[in-house]
Amino acid sequence: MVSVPPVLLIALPLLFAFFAPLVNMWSRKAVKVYTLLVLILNATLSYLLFANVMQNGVVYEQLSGFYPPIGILLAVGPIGAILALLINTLSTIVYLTYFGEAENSVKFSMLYMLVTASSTGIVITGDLFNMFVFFEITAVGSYGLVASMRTKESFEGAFKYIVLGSIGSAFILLGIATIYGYLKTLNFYDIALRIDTMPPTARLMSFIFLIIGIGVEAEIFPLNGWVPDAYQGASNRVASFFSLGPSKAGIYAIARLIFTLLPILSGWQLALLLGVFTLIIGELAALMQEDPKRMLAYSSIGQMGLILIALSLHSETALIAAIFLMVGHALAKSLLFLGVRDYARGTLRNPLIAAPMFIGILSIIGMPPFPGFWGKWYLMKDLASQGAWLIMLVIILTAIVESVYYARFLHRGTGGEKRKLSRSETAAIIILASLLILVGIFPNYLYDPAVRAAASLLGGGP
Amino acid sequence: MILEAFGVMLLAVIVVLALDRYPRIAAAVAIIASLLPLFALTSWAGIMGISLPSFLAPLEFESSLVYNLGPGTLNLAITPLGWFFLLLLATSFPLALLFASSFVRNRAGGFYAGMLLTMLGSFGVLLARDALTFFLFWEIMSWSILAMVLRGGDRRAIVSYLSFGSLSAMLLLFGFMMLYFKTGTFLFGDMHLDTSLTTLVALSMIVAGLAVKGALMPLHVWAPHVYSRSEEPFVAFLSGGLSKLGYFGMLLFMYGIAGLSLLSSWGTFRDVSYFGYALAVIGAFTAFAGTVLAVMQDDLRKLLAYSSVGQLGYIAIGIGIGTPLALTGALFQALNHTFFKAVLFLAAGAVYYRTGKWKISELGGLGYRMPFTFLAALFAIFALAAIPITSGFAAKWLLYEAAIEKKFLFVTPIMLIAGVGAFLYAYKILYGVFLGEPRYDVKEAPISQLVAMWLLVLPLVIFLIFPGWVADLAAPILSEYGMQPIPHTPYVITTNLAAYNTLAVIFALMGALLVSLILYKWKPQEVVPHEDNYLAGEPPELYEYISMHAASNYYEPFEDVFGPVFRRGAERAWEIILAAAEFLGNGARRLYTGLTQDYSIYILLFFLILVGWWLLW
Repeated sequence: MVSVPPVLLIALPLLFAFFAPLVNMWSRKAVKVYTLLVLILNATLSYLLFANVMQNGVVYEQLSGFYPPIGILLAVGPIGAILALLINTLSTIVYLTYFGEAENSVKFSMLYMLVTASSTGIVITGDLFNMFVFFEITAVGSYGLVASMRTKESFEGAFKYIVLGSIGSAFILLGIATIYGYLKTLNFYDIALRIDTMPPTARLMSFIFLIIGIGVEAEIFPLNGWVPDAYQGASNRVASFFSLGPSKAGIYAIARLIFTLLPILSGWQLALLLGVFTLIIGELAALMQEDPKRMLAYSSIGQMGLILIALSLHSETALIAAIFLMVGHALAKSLLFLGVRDYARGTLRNPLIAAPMFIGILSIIGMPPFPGFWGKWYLMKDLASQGAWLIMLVIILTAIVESVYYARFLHRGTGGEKRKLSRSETAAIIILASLLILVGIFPNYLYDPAVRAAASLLGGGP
Repeated sequence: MILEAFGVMLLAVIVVLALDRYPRIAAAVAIIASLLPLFALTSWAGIMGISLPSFLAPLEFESSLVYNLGPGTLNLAITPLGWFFLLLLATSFPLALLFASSFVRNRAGGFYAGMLLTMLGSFGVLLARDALTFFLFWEIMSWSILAMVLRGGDRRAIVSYLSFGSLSAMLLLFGFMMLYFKTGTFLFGDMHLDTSLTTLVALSMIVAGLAVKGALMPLHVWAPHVYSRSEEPFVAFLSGGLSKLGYFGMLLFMYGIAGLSLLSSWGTFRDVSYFGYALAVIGAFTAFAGTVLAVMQDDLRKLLAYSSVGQLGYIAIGIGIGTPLALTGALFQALNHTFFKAVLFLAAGAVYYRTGKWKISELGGLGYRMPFTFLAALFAIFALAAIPITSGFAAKWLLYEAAIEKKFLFVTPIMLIAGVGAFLYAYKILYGVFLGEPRYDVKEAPISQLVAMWLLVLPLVIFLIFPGWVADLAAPILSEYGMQPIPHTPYVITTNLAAYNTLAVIFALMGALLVSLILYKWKPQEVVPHEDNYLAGEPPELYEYISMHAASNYYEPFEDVFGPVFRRGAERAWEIILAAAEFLGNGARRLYTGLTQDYSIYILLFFLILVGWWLLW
């Protein structure tokens, strides 16, 4: 097995993104092919990295010649490898849909590569400040992607995202400053080793700063005001990309925070509480939405709450559930965002669109044999073994609410005129649906990595 | 071979989807794939003590299978209970497909794919030996029904089915998880339940979740919408076959896993556990209300749908009472209902196929044009109305006796009244659709539809003559629960009160029929147009405002009495709950004001709350 330096996953797309204008000068049409090739290269590299991590355990790489804790460290554990593979593969598939578009913007392709690289960076870095930088790149790139539709709504969504994203960044920076002020280090594992030397007050304050900052990106209530407008304003492709890339990176950062950085009891309790609220508010708000993209955005918020609940339970079973939920949500939501059209009317008249969309919805509402089911089953199993009936009741009631609004979505889809998607879009949603089926019917391919990721996270490792 | 069967059926799903343009070939592929469960059934006949000639069992199925998926293990094994219900599903399924081969015309690939998936799910449910397997296949079955409902495109059907299906799934999930909490295992064989409150709540949740699929009131709201807005071959299988899975689950969990002594430990009423008694009362209420609602319907599909709800209630009564007699009666009723309701829905489909009408008040006289459809439907109606000599009578008689034996003064009269009510709507179908003035000059139904219907009538005839065979099938199931089978021979079923001897009854009735035919035909009859009967010879042009159809407002006084009480009762409750959820949803939506400053303030407030919480704590 070739051992891939993890830094290539970040460096190559960044580098190639800046070459894109040069390609554009040579030929406008070549940019799409060029970007796709870069993304495919990245996906291949991320697969090699994943295989390497699964075979040999955690891959470390120090950058710029300094040894940690002074130098920047990349540390790819099982969960990082899973998410890097997920983000890079799915962003390639979603980019495919750009080929059906007459529009040919080099800026879009550049931003797309940039955000892919920085989202990947968040999940494989071992350094807090480095993570902050990637968060910034992700956020700035995302503002541009939302605005790339150049409509009134997209500018509105982008503006809200900019304001809230900046507030979030400020909070992250405050948290980092607090930690650095006491420990003089930014390396995750160094911080984790010496976190006990920090006074409890500072520890809690830095936790609060960081969870607020990251929570904005991870779509946690009440920090997620930008979500519905940004998803509604963005093009389908961008909304689909957001639900597989930046949002997953954000939820990963929360996992890193509550498992590695600051594993404190009140932190888990807070995260659990936030998860429950996010789930309830997201699902209830989705119930009353007319616009299908907005509905899907609120449903995403609810799913994020579910993932956060699974993370904050702090047990192996629940972590496996969280990974299944993340993968399931990334696949299903990116599929649904690609397939949905205004007011969802007629979306399901065309069998080639209807079957994948139906599978996506089934996975989201937790029907077997799709990844969402395994996630929910494992989460419930863990909650049951702890006797946490109240949280189970919340999950069950929100699941029923969820099925009601998806039922309305399905009904709208069956009526109206028959819709057609471009060939590349149809291909992308069929690929995504096949991935959902494969992961669902052969869950052991995800289960074994998930078990390792859970063990590694619980042990405080990458 | 079990895994291969699942694989082949999945493959067939993909193939029929690809054959969307060629409905006939797709139907053939689906029918061939549908024979797999049937061969599994014949291969496993040994566990019921039946030896079949080898040409009937060409494939060898292993009797149990453990398959590791990674996150969970599938435990599959055949049990007598599973075999009995597989008998109902595997025999009616290919016939429903056969009927569909001429009935379903557009987007046929999706139809057969959905049908095969429902059967695949049911096959897994019947073999499941642990909670994960049960739930997994149960939900596959459940969402494939949703896929079929989506084809109808009716809003109420889709929304009510998915919300009630989800409710059922969540009740089951919660119940399984509570059992897991108590016993630490998902394996049915290892679940040793205690008499704690947790177990009681878990069992009640599971039974409630199963009752949704079994269309027990008040969880039946989805059933009339779905039954009346989907394609008939599918509805025939849904009402006939799939709804039985709910009762299969009840038998499995109440008697197979919990056991009679555990149920009785929570208190008994006349030697029947409160748990079972509650189920019997709900069943009796369902039988009564379903029947009353069926009488009021003018839409043939709605009538049959409510009739299904009512008839399924009888099965719940039997399961609730839980004596060997009652359980045999429940199994007998399940078996009968599978076949007669399938025949009736298919006959309704055949009528629609030829006339394009669903309303009873627009039909009439089809018995003269479609005699074979009429005869099949007539036979099914006899069984439905439990007319003596039919197998329907034998089943209901066992249930009545079981209730009388326990001196259930509340359940028994309601059952009897519901039984009479079944005559009312059965008569409405008979007279409104098949008798009276011929209104349409149509042809007999296509041969594939007739063959499907008549093959479904066959079991009704067999069990008419040999009701003891059902008691034979019930014996291994009862012995698993530690009960004695009821005394019987193929023709005679003996109970504490009396013995039902089919041969004697058949000969007596045949004799009576012969005598009455001779007396009736002795004098030549004059046939008058029924308008003359109606209007006493006055010209009908004067009375255009009166609907001349016998079925219109036929039961008006009845409707005046019962209508206000029963019409849409449970549906109102459902709408109120939905409205409450929407109210909450509006509240949550208002939190997202769309104003950036509000969102910024949320973040700030959240920060202040966290800091305040920490300062106070």
